[in-house]
Amino acid sequence: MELGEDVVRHVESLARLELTGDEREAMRRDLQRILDYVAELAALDLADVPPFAETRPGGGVLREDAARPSLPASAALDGAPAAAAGHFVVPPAIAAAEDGDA
Amino acid sequence: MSARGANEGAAPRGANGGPAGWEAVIGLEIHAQLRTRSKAFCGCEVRFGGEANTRCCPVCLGLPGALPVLNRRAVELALRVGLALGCRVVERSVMARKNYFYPDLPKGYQITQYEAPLCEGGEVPFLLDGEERRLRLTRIHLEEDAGKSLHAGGETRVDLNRAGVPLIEIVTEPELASPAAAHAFLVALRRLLVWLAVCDGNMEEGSLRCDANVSLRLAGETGLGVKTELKNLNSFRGVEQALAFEIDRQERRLAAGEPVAPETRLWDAARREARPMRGKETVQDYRYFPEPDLPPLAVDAAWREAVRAGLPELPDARRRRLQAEHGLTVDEAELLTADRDLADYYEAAAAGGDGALAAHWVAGEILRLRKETGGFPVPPAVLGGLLARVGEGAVSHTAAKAVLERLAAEGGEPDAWIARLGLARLDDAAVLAGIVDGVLAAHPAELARYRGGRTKLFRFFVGRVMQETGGRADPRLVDRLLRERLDG
Repeated sequence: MELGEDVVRHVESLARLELTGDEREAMRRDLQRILDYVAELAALDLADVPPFAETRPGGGVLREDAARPSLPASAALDGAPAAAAGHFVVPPAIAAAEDGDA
Repeated sequence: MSARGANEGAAPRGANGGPAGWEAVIGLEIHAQLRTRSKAFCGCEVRFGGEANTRCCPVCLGLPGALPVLNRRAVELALRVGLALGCRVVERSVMARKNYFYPDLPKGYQITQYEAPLCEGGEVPFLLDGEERRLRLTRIHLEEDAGKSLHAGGETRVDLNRAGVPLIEIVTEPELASPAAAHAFLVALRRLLVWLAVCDGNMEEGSLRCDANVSLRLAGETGLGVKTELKNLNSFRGVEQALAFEIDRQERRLAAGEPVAPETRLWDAARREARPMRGKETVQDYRYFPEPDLPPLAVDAAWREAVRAGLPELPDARRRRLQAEHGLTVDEAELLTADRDLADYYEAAAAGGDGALAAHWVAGEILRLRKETGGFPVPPAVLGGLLARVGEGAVSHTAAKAVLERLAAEGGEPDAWIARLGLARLDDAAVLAGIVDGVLAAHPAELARYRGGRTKLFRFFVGRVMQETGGRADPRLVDRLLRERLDG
C-alpha cells in the first residue's frame, strides 16, 4: 500500500500536530516502512495460528469492586497548566453548552 | 401471543403521521452508568455530586505509566443486561481505544469495545399502545465515561470525577418507526435496567443518556437514507420531541429536493429545536485499535451461567404472569410492574384475595400514598386485610379509604380502625328500615313527585339514607328497603 502525503496530513490533523514539510515527508517514509512490514506479515498464512494477545492463560486479571482513596484534589490538579475552584481550566471548547463524546 | 416487530404495521403515512410519502427509521444508542462502587479501571469511588476532581487517580487522570485493571462487577452487571435481553455473550471480547481529543477525556482516548463487544444481538420487549413489540439490539458493550465540561465565561472547566465510571452502551437496530415507539422502548429499557439493579436510571444526574439516529426513506423502500444523530437528549420526552422535530425538518428538506447532511445535531429542550453541532466524524477518524494495556475479556460458560441463574423474574414475564394469575388488563399489569418494589407490594397485598380489587387500590390509593411519602406506609398484608373486609361487604369503599388514611398515618390494624371510627357497614335490616322510613317521612314533597312518576328521585332517597348513615349503609339493603316502600 502506497502512503500518500494526504493521509499523513489527515492523521496530522487528527493528532492536532503541525509538521513542517520535511517532518511530514520523514513521517511519511517511517509510516510507509511500517505499512510495508505489516504487509509482509499479512502475506503469511496464519489461519491456524490463534492470536497471541497475552502470556497468561485464561482471561487476565479483574479487579474486585472496592473503592480506594483517590488523590487529594490539589494533587490531581498539580500538573494542570491552569486550574480554578478545584477544576481544570482549558480554553473554551465550544460556544454553546455541549457534553463530551461518551 | 406473538409479538410484532417494532416496525411492522406502519401505515402508509408521512414520517410524523402526515400525508403518505416518507417514513422514519430510528435507531437509539443508550449509555447507562453501571451501579458499581468503584470506577471501571481503577479504585476511585463512583458517586454523583460532591467536590470536583476529588475522585481521581493516576489511572483515570491518564497520567503516564498508569495501567488500567477492569472491574469484575462492571462485567457482571453488563452480563446481567445482556442475558436478560437474550444477547449472545462473546467468550473473548476485546477492549479497544477510541481516539479523539476533548478536554473531558484526559487520556486522549476512551477505552471501549469495538470489533468484539461483550454482547451481540438480543431484543427488548416493550408495549406500544398496549400492544407487544420487540426491538432488536445490535450489541451491548462496556466502556468508560468521560468527565464533565462546564462551559462558562469564555473558558471551559473540567471535572474528572466521572471520568472512568463504567458504562454500557446499548445499540439498537434502526427499526423504530416513530418517536412514540422510541419513547415506549426507552421506558421499557429503563425499567429493565433499574429492575436488574444495573443502573439507577436517573436521567437528571446523567446515569442514563440517549442519542438517536434518524433518517427518512420513501415508504416501501428497504434501503436507508442519510441519517443525522441527535445528542443532548436528557429526558425521554426530549427524545420524542427531538425526533419529531428532526423528522419534520428532514421531511421538508427532502420534499423540497434538498439533501440531508450527515451531521450531529444538539437538541435544545428550552427552545425545542436541534442545531448542527459538527460534521459527523467517519468511523476511521477514531482510529480504533485493541487496547494494549488490557488483555481480552474472557467470560466462560460457568461465569455466564452463574450470572444467568442470579437474574430475577423479568418485568415483561411478570406482567404476563400478573395478567394470567389475577385477571388484570395489560395496562393494569404494566402499571403494577413499573418497578420491582411496586410489583412485590401488589403481589403481597393481592395474595389469597381479590387480585382485581387489589390492583384497583394499589394503582390508586397506594400509588398516591407512595407519591406523597416516598414509600409504602401501609404494609401489603395490612392492605390485604382491609380489602378482605371490603370484599366481604363489611365496610364500604368510602369507609375503607378513611381507614387506609389512618393506617398510613398511624399504623395499626384495619378491624381496630373500622371499630374505632364506627365505619362498620350498617346491615341490620330493622335499624336501616327505621332510617329509611324516617327519610321518607321527612321528604313528603319528593315522595309525592316520585309516586307521580318522577322515578329518578329514587337516587335522591338513596343519597339521603347514605347521608344519614355516614355512608355506612349496605347499598343493596337500602335499595331493597326503598323498593319495598316506594314500589311495593
